[in-house]
Amino acid sequence: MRKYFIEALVVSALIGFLIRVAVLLFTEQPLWATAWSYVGSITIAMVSCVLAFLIHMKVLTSLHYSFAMKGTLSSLSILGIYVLGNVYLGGVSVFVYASFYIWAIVVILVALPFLYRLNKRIRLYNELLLLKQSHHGEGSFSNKRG
Amino acid sequence: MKIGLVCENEIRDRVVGKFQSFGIEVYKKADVYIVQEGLHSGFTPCIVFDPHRIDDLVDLLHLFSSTTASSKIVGMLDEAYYVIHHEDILYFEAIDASVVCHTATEAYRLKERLFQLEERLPGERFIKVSRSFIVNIDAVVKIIPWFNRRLLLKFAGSKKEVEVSKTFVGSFKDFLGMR
Repeated sequence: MRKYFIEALVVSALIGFLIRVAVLLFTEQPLWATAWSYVGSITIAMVSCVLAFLIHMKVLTSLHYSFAMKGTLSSLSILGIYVLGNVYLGGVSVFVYASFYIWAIVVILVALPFLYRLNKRIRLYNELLLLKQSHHGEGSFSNKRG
Repeated sequence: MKIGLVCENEIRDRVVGKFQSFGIEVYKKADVYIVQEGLHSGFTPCIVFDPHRIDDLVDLLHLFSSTTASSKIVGMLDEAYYVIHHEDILYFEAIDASVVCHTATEAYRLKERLFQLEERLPGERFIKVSRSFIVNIDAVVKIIPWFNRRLLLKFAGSKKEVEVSKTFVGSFKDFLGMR
């Protein structure tokens, strides 16, 4: 699992870097004037990655939680990352703007269908797995699962 | 002797269940095929059965139960040989020129190559998931979707995990009956 965690962390660092480049290009700022801003973006991306990895491995892929629970926990994580990113970019003054809350709702509404689809896929894989194993009868691992 | 089965999907699970109740494993590439009436063209030598009289097939299976391919593997650990039952195996891994058989607690070195194992192992239980891994589907407890169309497989009683590479995801989905 460590190998996959490191892989996800590296990808997230790269995404953080690219997001920073995109923001600077969009706001017509020089790319290398504020080198420390890259560190901030990469840090936020990597923190998001750690949170997302934990949510994916422990919650989303679990067969014990309902979609409501998974959706709630994932949404709270997304909101946490959204607040962190906005406060980093705009300071605490972002909380007075209505657009901050509107965009938060938009982000959640966009994320929920993807989460639902992912959950459906995970359930399908594991239901088919159980079905396949049930055909192999006594003495198989399916009867040893704790 | 390896037994193969050719029949319609509607009765396949029931017939395979009968086979396995006699300890008979079903192979994709077999020495003799047991074929549903009407589908035997191209499968010789074969034994043709009537899908409405599967109980008659069961009587025939009694004859085969003592002569079919073994459900055991011999592996080496610390210069000693061990007999490993199929049901204890999590997966096989090809490392350099050899193959390692992983159970929940140990890893045994085998003499065979991966492609030889692939031909020898029962196709209903063991599936190749990448160039270097063959997995026992009965030992898998969870399937986790991952980046780039890959899947991660987690096993019972072990922290070991295996990745289904994107090249093999299609055949893995077919194996599960997903498409």
